Amino acid sequence: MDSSPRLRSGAVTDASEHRVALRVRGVSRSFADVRALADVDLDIRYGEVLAVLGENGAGKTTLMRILSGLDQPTSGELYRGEERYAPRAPREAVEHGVALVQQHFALVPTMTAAENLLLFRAQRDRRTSREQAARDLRTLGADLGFDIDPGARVGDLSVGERQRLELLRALDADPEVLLLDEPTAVLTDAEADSLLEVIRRLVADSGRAVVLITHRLREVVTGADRVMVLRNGEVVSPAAAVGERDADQLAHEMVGAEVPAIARHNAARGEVLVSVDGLAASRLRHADFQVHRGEILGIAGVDGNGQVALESAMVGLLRPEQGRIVVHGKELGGVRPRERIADGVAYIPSDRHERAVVGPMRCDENLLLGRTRRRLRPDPGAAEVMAAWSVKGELDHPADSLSGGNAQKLVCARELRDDPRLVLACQPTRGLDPGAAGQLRQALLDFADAGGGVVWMSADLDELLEVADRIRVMFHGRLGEAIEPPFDRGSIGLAMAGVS
Amino acid sequence: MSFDPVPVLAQSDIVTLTFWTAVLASGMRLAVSTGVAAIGEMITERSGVLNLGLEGVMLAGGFAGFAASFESGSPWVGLLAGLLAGAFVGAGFALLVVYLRVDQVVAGLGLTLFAIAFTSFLNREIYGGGTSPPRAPKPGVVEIPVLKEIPLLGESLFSQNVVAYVAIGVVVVIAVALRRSYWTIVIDAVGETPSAADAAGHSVRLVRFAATVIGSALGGLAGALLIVGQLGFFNSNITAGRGWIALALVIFGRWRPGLIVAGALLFGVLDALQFRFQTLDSAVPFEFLIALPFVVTLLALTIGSRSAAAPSALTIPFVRATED
Repeated sequence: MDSSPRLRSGAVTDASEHRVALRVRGVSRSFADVRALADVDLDIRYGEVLAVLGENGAGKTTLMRILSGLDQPTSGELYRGEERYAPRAPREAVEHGVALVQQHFALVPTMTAAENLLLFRAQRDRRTSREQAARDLRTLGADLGFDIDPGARVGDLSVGERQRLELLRALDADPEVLLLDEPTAVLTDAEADSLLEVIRRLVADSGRAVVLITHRLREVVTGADRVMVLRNGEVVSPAAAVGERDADQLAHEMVGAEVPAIARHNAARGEVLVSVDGLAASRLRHADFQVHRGEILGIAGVDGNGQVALESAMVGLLRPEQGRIVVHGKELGGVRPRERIADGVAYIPSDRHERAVVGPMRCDENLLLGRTRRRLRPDPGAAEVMAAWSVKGELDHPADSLSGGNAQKLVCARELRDDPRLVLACQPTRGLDPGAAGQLRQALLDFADAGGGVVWMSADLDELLEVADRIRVMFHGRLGEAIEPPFDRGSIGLAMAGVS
Repeated sequence: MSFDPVPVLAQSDIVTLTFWTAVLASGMRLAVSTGVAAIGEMITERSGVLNLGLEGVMLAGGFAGFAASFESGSPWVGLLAGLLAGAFVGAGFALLVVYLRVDQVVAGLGLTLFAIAFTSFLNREIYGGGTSPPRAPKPGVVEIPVLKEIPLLGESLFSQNVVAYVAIGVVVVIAVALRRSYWTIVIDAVGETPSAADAAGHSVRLVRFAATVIGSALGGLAGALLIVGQLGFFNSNITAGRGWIALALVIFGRWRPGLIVAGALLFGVLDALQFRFQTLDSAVPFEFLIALPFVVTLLALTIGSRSAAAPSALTIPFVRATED
């Protein structure tokens, strides 16, 4: 492999250990009355990987968006070298040698890999033919040891391949500063490790500055030189060498003391509540499982392995091609969401905007969704339910006005209100701040303690290790054998990557 | 809907080569304006904007084209005026839907209704709008010797009104340009995944604005082609649903130029056919024949659009995640 610096600009070649590539001074950003970033100072240096560690909602992404020109600070300043740097658009950032790989892929699924590369080139770049783009993509890929077919439709690529394509595309602009926002969020442990290795090599070979945003401690320890911790938009601890703090200290700084540990009181398993036999639908090839009263069954898996099909079939939104679902002795038949509500199956969908909340409708009206046969108008109890779940919002305001965490709590409040038998919780804490996530986890544990059954699907293995009584791994549409505690993190991680 | 002189038919004529040669030639003429309008609308829609005002844009282009060619005496000035009128109306529409985020369906329907009324009004005020409207100069017919003698297709391809060649040229140039161009990628990205185009540094709104103006300019040109190139006069609502047919053709053609042109030709030929069949003394009521092209289009749409992939962001205004 070619290990020579391949920066066309050649500007980084004299990068000494301490040269600052990008300076952040007193940057704040507020949205309406919410403060996403407060007075952040940071030096990003050439030749090192700087990790920005923080929980969801800590302000990491906001910081990246500001650095890359997708957003502008409310106050504060940025400097690139000695120059003032205030990009108004991503293209300006790229012209200053700063490129971002976003958390949510900024790829067009209907186009080929090469066309997606081309899309990111400015027209005056002149390298605007598809053939040129395809050649360059191969060269870039070869440099990093990736093999991506330039003619493949992006929609057909795996998540890992898309992530690599995103990285190659960012490198196409030959940036001196590379910003990576949660690059491993959707990857298996093995894929994440190989990506981190590539990133380390990029820094070592060319002296680029890399900023790695993550909430995974493991990656900070293995992949970064320095680490800064953000919490609630504030710098909890300024950037310092990774070795100076151990993982426990970092975890404490990241989460803060305000999140109470969740607790399980009664893990006794009762009678069988739900039994799924040979279920197949769309990407779900085969699923057999049972959930008992008082049990939390964790279904671990990287997105796109059939979870959405399983979730949809369980709640009557997708007709099973084969197999049956029996809840409390009664077979759920066909596509009848109304039936699953009546049968006491509560549903916290993975995509709440798509399936659980009607944004323009009032909060109290959202609390009635699917329940209008029992309550015909917003009832006096609505305020009480909102308060019990500490949903921060007004009853008569649209659900769109709620933050992600509060919207999710609203969904749980509705779904758990009528004493369901089973809760189907799909990625329930994704995108929530630590406080809301903790509250939600505790509520589901309490529900199981009281004798309810829970199916908990999550791509976050750490979460499942904490809450689940048993874990099944989902891969390529199939469920693996049940894994009982004590759980072995390594082998479950491998199973999620398809290595059994 | 046709405007060729049509001889009275006997049943035996239907099997003759002359009959089908004439049908194809006339179908080609009918396909020209809907085809150009549909190609324009395709560009607009691929950027994520649905212009239901296409019928209105064609009327505006048609009237502007008529007035300009009538006053100047040159059909070419008329075509240019139609193009500019389309672009002007399209710019207004794009301002509303792209920058002010007015609902595209509402704005489009509004534009069509407004244009029907406004062009009728202007026509009546300026040209009297009576039963014998003034005539604009007609462009000449270009006949290519030898080639036009080719059986069946000769007349359609090599003996057409000069503006028809302009239209064919426009369509071919656009189809080829779209195949190879960097801008196709940008327009498609804006229509499919605007957030990705935005992150790539392209202005989603500017691209949509431009695609809408270009599409509408072609819509205006299509109107002018119909009036200046073929009919030679203007009347109230003279486009008679061609804008809507063009909108349907975009879906039928699955947002691809080749299929859209094929659809336009199919519709044109059916239209020419029904017009000739009307003169045929048969038991089939003529209302059925008039409906025939529309029925076939409808069927093709129903079948063809089942698997059609519309641009994912069609009709959805773009708002960056951090904007309010």
